[in-house]
Amino acid sequence: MERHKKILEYTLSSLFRRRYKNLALIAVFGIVVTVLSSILFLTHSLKREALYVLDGSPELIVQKVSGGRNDLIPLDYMRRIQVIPGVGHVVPRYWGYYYDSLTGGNYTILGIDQDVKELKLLDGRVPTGNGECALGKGVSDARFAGIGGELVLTDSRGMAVSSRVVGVFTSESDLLANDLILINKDEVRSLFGMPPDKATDLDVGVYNTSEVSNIAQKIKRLLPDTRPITKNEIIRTYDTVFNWRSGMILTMFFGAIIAFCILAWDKATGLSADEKQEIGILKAIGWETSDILEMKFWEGVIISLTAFLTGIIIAYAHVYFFGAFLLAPALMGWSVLFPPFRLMPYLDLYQITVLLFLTVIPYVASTIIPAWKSAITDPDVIMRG
Amino acid sequence: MILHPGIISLIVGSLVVTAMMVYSSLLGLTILRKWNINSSSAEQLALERKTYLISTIMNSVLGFEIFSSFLFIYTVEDMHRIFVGAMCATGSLNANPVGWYVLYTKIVIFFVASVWIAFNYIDQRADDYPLVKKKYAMLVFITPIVALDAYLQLKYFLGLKPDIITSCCGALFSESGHGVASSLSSLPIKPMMVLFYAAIALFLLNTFFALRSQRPMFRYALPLSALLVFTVSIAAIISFVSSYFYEIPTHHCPFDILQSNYYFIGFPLYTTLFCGVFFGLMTGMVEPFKKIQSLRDMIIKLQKKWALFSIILVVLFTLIASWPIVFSSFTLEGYF
Amino acid sequence: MRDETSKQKGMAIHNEARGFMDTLIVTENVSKVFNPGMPDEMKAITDVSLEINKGEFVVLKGPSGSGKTSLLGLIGCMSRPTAGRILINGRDVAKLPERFLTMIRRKEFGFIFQQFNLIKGVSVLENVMLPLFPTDAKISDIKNRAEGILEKLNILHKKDFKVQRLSGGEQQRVAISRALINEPEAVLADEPTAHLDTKLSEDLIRIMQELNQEGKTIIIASHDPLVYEKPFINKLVEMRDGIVKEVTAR
Repeated sequence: MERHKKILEYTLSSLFRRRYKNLALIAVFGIVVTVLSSILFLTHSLKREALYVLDGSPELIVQKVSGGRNDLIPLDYMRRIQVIPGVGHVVPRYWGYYYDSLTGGNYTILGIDQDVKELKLLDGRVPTGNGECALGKGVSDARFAGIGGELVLTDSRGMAVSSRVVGVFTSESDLLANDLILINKDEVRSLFGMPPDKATDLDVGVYNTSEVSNIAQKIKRLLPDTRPITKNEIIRTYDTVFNWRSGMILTMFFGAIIAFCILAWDKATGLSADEKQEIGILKAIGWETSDILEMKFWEGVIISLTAFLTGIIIAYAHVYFFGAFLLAPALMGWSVLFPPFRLMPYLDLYQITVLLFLTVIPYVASTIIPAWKSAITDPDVIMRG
Repeated sequence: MILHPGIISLIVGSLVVTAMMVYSSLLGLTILRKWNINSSSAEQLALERKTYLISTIMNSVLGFEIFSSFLFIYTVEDMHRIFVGAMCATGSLNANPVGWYVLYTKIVIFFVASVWIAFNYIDQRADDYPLVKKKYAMLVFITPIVALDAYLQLKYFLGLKPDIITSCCGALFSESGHGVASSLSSLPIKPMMVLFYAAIALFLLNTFFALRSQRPMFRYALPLSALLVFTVSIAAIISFVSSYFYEIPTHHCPFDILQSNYYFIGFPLYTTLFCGVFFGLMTGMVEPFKKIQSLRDMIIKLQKKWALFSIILVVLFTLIASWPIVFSSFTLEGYF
Repeated sequence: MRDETSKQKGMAIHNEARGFMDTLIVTENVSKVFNPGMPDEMKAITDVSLEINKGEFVVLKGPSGSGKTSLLGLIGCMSRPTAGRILINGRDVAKLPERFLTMIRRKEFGFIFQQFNLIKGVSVLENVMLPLFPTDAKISDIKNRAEGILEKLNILHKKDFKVQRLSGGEQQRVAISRALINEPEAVLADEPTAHLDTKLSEDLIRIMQELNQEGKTIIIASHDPLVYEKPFINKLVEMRDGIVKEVTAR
């Protein structure tokens, strides 16, 4: 054990003696790690957020499809779904997207007539009657409308509709609530010009969650122009999309990883005359090949771990404190809300392991052969030369 | 194919490792053909230098394989939501049953690579490289296994389609299912417990006598009892040990104990088991090498050390596995 | 050839008469060829047989290219011969793997190189301690030993200086200290006076003589008359073109 300690100590001092070159290497490596880990952190967090949110969504949502596109669903369908065995509640939902030309953002307007259970609650209260609204933090900030303030929207006839803000959702991390506007159900209808016998879609509850797929199938058979969507399907879709997106970007950065490995190889093979002499001297004074190999191993580990940790810390700050401003557009698609929101910081051992795999391991691997070549120097080389 | 970061890293990693193994084997073949310890020619010296390269590569391969085994399990766990019916890693593996063979192959590689590294360690400490031929011949056998692992892994990931409906561990490891796993889970618990502790006791006794006795038969028996204790322990983990950790009688999954919500208890559990079995195995496997003069003394010393390690690790394993059985308020007694 | 054999026999009797107990190094028909079979093949040493006893002060004398440096390297277990046997304390080291060669070297030999070959940027103390880093000795023990040696050679006060800041003479003493850290049986020096002025050369030779008087075997390869004309040399081995021409024992 003593032996390893001493060799490690020597390696550290040796690296320090050539600190500028090593810092440059760490910097390059660190950047690669930062980019990769930013990608992984961001997608992973978004995925977690989405899943967390989806956890509270309805087991089954039924939408009407017309000409391949979503249409409003007749309230009439409720009755017909209700009688299917296994179905619990059937509740109409009124909601829609609102494009705000002022800020350029898309908001989700949700009509309520009961307590909103799943979303983190707000300062203030839920709107109880007409003329009141509760806003997500993102909307509130974008429109400069806090509690007691006023929100003016344009309805389907072009008329201004004003409502007083009675609540603002607090958690900045909540994806769903950030762009949300809660108003009374009837107001949604009038805002979007929806006919009185239609709703946006239906929230269907089932008694036994393992029966959801069966019930969904029955609904489809019963009402062929509807599209029942189960919660699981949504979860899987999100999962796949995020995996796909992060995988795609990762693949693009493969080029960066390969370039880096070539750099590592080159650096390791092209030892300076100084370094060559140092190894020659060590071998002459009694260090064995395996000692030099161990030294090279520690070198690789120290450099790559330092770069790795630095890269991860910077990526962490980038994603969780600075909103991943460099990456967000590529990953989050069109529904990026212009008001920024913060992701909940989350560090997953799995992500770190994948990152280690993609960075530290290729680095150490690409330096094995060059390290060996330098370690097998003959002890009598410096005598001859 | 599912483009998941973990999958990409695993596939690329396994291809790189396979390439490294093939390279090592080719070098190894050269050494097999031309090795002559009594020659002082430059060729022989070059061959001796190459042995260092192969040792370094093999160490890295082993390290990598261990790492990738954990990464594989975690990736498979992370993917489970994509498959309908999957609730954990088991479900993902069931979505394409080749996945189980990937896991078995990785376990085999762990043992085979560790044995090679141990042989290499011994060989290097004798002044005439007595095990060279055997060592590098063995390398040629390890390479196909590593390649098989890479191939199976690729086949597994390529064969995954998100719309497969799979069953989770609840079904796989349930008493009413079919297949080996459910047979293991549905084994009556009390006899299983007895078998488990008996196997451990047998192994510890064997190791103890291997340590103390002059007669070689105990040491020759050690690899057998090591493998026995390994198989029985894995069966026991699935059968009841995991249930005790989860405090749910129907939860038999061997992978969930590696997750954070169970405080990663799976790590010390599996580490002590694998390493304990390994040292027991090695103690027995080097016994025939005592015939070689230059190795004899060293092997005697190493055997003592390894046997001791083995005993300590297996005892630790038993303690960890028994902890919840003894100390938690949960009990499977009603299921006996 | 007959000359040499009878001279060697005479030497053996002579040594016995002087009561030397152990033979430290024996080379039997040792040859060293660099890059064999290639266009730049070079026969450094051909068929050299030599005996060196413990406590002897030996000088390998000859012009550059005579093979004395290569012979020194072979004796000091720095390289392996192409042919022949080398016995260190009775054990044949010619075919030993590197690991064992290094073990023997660490135990028996200390080396002083022509260019000193101290590691730049590293302190005096650490340079002296380096040869023992790959061993299981505790760092504090090595440090104490190193400081003891440095003190004996009057350079302890500069132990934390980086070696490139030392004068030639001081570096020389650091190089000697490093050669002594493993308490070797023999100290080998390759052209140690090549880059030194007369005063420093005499200093070095004097230190070597003191070490010899303490019981260490000294083997110096040199073509400097300052070295090989010293009266206290026990054995003078004259080499030319890779073979031993004459061995004079005193």
